[in-house]
Amino acid sequence: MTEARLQPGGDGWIPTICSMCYNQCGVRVHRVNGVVVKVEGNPDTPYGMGRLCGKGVAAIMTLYDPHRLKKPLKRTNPQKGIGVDPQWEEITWDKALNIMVNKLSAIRKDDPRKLIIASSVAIPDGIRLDWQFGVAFGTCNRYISGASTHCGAGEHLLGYLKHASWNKFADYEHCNYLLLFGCNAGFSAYYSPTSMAQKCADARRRGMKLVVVDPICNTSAEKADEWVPIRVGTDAALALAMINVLLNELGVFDAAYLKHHTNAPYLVGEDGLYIRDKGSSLPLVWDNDSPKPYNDPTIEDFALEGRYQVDGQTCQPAFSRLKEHVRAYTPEEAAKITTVPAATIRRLAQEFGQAAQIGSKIFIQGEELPLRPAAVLYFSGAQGHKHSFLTSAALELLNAVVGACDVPGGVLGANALCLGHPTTGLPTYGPKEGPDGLMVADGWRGMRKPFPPGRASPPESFDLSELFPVGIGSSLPTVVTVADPQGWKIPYEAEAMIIVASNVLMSLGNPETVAEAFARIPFIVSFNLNLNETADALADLVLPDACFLEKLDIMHNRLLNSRLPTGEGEWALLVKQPVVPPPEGVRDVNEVVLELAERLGISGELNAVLNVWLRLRPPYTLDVNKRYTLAEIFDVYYRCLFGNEHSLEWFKEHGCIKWPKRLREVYWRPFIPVRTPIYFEHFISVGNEVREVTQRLGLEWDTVDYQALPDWRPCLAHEIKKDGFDFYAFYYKVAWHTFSWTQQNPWLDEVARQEAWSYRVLLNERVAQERGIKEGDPIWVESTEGFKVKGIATLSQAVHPEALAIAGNGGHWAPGLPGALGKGALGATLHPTNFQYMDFVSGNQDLCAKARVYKDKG
Amino acid sequence: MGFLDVAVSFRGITRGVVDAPQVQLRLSPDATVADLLHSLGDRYGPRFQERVFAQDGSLQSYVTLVVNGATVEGSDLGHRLAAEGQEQVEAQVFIFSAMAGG
Ligand code: SF4
Repeated sequence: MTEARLQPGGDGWIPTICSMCYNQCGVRVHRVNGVVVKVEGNPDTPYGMGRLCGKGVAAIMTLYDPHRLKKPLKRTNPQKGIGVDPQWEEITWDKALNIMVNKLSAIRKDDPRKLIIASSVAIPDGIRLDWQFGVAFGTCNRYISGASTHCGAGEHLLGYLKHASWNKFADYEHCNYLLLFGCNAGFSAYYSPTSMAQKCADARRRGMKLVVVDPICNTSAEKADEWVPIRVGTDAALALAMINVLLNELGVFDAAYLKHHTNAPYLVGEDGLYIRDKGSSLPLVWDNDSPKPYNDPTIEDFALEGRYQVDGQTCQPAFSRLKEHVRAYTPEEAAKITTVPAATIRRLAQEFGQAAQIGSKIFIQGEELPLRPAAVLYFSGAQGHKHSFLTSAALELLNAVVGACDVPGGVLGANALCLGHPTTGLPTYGPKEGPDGLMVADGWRGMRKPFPPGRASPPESFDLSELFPVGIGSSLPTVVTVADPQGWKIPYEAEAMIIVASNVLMSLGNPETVAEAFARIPFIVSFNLNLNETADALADLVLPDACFLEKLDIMHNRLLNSRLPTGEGEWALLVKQPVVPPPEGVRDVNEVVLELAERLGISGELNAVLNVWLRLRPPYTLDVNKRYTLAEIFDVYYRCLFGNEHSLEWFKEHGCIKWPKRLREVYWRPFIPVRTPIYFEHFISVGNEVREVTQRLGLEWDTVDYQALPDWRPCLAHEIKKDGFDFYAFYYKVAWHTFSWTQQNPWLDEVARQEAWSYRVLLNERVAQERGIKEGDPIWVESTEGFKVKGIATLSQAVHPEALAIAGNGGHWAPGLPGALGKGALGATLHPTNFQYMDFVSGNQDLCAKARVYKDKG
Repeated sequence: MGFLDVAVSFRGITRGVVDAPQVQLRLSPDATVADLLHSLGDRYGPRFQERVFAQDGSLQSYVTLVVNGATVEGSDLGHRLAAEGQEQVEAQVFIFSAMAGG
């Protein structure tokens, strides 16, 4: 960066990272006379490529929000709950930390698991010292609030299993046909939106066709060639019908890809499990009249179809199973479920299959690679439902049957393979061969890898992660189990909770239910910018956190496979640095956590954990007998990755290190001999194990979705029949708000007030008029469970007639957020927040509720 | 034939899995990571085994083992703990939580 140089502590353009959402775009911030006057995109980094979304531009208003907390507060009213005056008393930091240390010391001595640490999906993951503090402290109860509400527990699970990555994109450089299901990837939300929007726009200009399947004509649909309105929560039925058309009507599939890169040829017995070689236990395939282990070098051709006898057992290749399985999903049957006409389903399948150009090749940089220029992407809208895993698997199989996986034109796992910086070879990670020849991903940003599957065991954590051996985890169970630990066989009760940058009442479900559950926790601390609903209702201590423009932080390389733009381009890691100091009385939570660790006598443990978490290698490891500042830890981290000359100071000056992506990193599929499942055989044994554990403990737990091939199954909302309740209410995101966090920002509020979605309830114009509802009418949305939310109607022809869409996480009531007060509605209010609205495989929350709508009479 | 003394420190989420933060074990000189973990499994029982081993017998993804300062790959259980002639080894077993995240 040329002009973006800053004399330390002086004015100028300062490179740092935007944290108005989790995407971590590179920004440069103009500081004049010690005051931030502008935030703009940093063209020197691939994170945003110089582009910034509205939230990033508006960051300055969050920084200078006059309603930010400036002093630690202590509750003096022992009563807690929504609407209860906490009777705050201002106290010093020292007093606040003394209170914390006293409580936490006692808990650690007794049982450290009694501490819960709640973070947020909204804040970007740098060092996340609160997580590492939790590990060093010894608690297993750390979760990210909003994970399962806003996020893609099903999609990420399939991202790992099929693409070795947290998320994925179409290869916009070469894709010719993109099908989006409940997803705005490349348009607004999802990951790397600022960079991927440019790539996607370039692809559209080049001629890439775009079809969007969604109950509402969303941000991407309004720019698409075709919008396909679908009944809420039925995407899996459409996907399975399309696969049926491809396999059984058109005979379109990529046999070479399926044979060599998936488990499609593995023989499956009548019990649904692989037929295994007696000696090696490896799965068998059929080749030239005989069974052989899948990796037998003498195999000439893998059979994909047929029925065979092995040791007296009848079996067939997994692909045959899939083909037979999807026969039940005729376009006519799927039309009844989805409301998408059968002819449209056939046409979409035919267009997608044709666009994939199975068998075609492309030369890039002198390498001949398969070309499959068709892709299916999906996210919260499609998979934020009861059967999230099954839906994600069905959608993902569309890509798999045409071979459009991690090759030019198809779906690319986001930066799944990294061979490292040319000088150090770090960071390095990538897909590897695991059990049964199936892929194991390295560099995965989650703590728990979905494969090889973990083992189900009796609950020990409030999030019940022990009962999700293949899931990435969910925040929903904590609400249920904290209220009844004994009932869930958790051997202790929650004694304390530290909430960092999160507003759990607005991000976990019905606020009353969440407040009631968490009010049982005797000691709650909230670190935040503002006095939000959660702090007001539940916190005993509220501690003012610094804004991201006042913080020093690293960019963790675990995030390369979820934040760096996907496809050809550059690798890069940035630094977050303070542009201005925090106001007096405000402290960065990471600094506070270091001090807490020291006062609790666990700094050595924390250093040991950081050595592993940051993958520090000698000589760049932290000494467990020494104390470090944040700057010292970050310095070691960057030097470890990029050599001694790349110190923290170097990063602060340059803002970014980058190097070109290699072709093999971007299109790794042809180069790495691993298989991915089209048949999820191991889910059968995992499901059996979860069933055995839960039955033994007498826990009510549904394991029916642990199946090897996906089905469409109805959400609760589809099954409920109640007179007058004929809408499916659901929540969706807008690009100019980050969950429940940004409504307080006046510029973003102004944007939201000027358009017709953010603060409104969207419904079909004709249907609304039949009920006497006009544009701008105050209305009530009431779920069959008796939960109600008030909103303002906005009408459009471009909404499925059964859909009722509530944007974002509005409806704030905390006096500490005066700019957000009373604006919009909180869709999650409509849910009782229980396991009936959860996917038991991925933990994803079902965000659709059967509802009715009527005008507010008042 | 000599012995290998292994000083094991448990870090992270060990409550409910082991009863003490440190333990001293005596193994054969050619002991592997698998031998160490199985010996700990025998000592601490099914709770330890369930938490540490994945279904296929490899390390659970949130368990990291550091032997003499170097991280052991989760599937590399055949890795020898000590070099020829070495009599003492330090091992750290980190059990992270399978944190809920999305
Ligand atoms: S997408 Fe917008 S809010 Fe998020 S990091 Fe990028 S510029 Fe900031």
